[in-house]
Amino acid sequence: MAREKFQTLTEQMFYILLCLRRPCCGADVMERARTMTEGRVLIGPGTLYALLETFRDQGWTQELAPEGRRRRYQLTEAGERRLEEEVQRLLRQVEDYRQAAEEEGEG
Amino acid sequence: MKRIYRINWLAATDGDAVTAWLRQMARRGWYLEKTGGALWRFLRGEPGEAVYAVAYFPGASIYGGPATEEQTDYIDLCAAAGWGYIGQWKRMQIFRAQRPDAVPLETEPEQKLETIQAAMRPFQRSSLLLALLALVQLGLYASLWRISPAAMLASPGILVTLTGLPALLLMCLTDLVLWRRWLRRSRRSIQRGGDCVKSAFPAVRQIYKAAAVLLVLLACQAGWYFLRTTGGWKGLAVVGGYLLLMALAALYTRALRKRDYPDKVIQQNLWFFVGVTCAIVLIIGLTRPRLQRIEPDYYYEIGTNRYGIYTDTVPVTWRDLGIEAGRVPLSSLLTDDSASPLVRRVEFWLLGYLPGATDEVRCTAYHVPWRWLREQVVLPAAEREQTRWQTLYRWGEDIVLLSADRSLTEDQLAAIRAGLTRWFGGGGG
Repeated sequence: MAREKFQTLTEQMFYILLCLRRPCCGADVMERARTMTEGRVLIGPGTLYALLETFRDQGWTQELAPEGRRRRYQLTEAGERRLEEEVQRLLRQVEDYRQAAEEEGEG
Repeated sequence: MKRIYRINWLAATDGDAVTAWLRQMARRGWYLEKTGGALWRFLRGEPGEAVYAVAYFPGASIYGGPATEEQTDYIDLCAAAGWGYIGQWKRMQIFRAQRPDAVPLETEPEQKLETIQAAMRPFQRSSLLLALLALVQLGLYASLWRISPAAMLASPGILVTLTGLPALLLMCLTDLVLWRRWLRRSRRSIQRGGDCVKSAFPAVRQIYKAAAVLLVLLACQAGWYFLRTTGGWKGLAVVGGYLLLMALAALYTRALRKRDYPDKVIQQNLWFFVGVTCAIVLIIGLTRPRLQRIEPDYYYEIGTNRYGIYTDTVPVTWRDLGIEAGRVPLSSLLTDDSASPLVRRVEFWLLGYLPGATDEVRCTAYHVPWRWLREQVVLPAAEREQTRWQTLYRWGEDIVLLSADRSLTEDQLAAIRAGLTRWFGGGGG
């Protein structure tokens, strides 16, 4: 079954939104995501560009005044909410996992 | 520095084949320097392992040329990820890795597939449209084949088109079929958690080459056709004019792209260019004296018949034309080995009724190039049966043939001869 778009965020979507809580340009997003995840999550420039466009269309990010030739972006309130929802979803998953593990341990 | 050009025989949808080709060239010491339509330029260097990658960018112009503003941002982003931009080809962006740890251009398969689809949509649409047009035209020829295969094979114009159409159709269908198949497989692979499948279409190179051979054949055939038929050098001038217009359109597009106009504006301009060209051709066509002759200069009557006659029509007899009675060259689409006549209808026409005819006699006028009449032309049996009466006129470099679909009585023929003699001082055959 194909995943319905944006119902859940992929890892790369998640980290792009996370990085954009602070204003930054595309190159910074790639670098921050790499550093934050110690190289585990790499975001390709093609993917990043396409997702930045999509997020802007969704109203999750906004474009700020450019810094020289570099376009800068930042999360909007809607984007913050979406990120928060995703975090809550992930926490619920972790909680479910822990609960299941405890039940198995007790059994 | 030494440079060479190589023809790119690959499909624009076949990114993996492009990178494989570039890698292979690099191993031989040739590094891609500049992309083009079909000819790509390579620069000599030390043979080695080069890493190339391609990505599709929907924001790029379909007309090529300099990078758009969006594209420049994209290229900058790729540079930050370790990729040096080389050039583009039909929205395919070609990069070479500048450092060993360059991050892959696309890291999310689903997004990648969406991007490729969006970028290639206009090309697929035009392929589909061209394929449909070619199919419709071939369908029309198929119906003509059912009526008269001989007439079809003997017509150089049809033969020229028949060479070009399958080549065009072959290229378009190859493109469409392979693309759809790749999309379907990639979608399936992504649904299973994988990446887009490899897009190597090894058959494409051979198919494109075959199509190119067919197109060269078409060009030779068209040249031969124009030189041998009524158009002659005039026909070549028309083709030359057509090519010139295409070159002008290409230069105009390039000029607009250099000024960074968006594709939409370029398309509007091109449509305007096409409209103006068609209008000019139409005006020239309508004002050309020859075409004005559709309306005769005079009418004359023989009994109850009314004929349309042009002032520069000179009647000649078959004897005048040096043609033996048994080998009368008629307007025909079927020829022997030495002749391929061109016949165009409605250059001359006949109105009204013949004396004594109880119903309307269908008279057909043909415009036959003079040179064909000096060669043997064999009339198809079916047409021979239908044509019961004919008469010829010399008209400048051409011959006008009038023919009727039934036998005419001696009285009717005499009336026609008398009328023609009265008007032209000569005789009809």
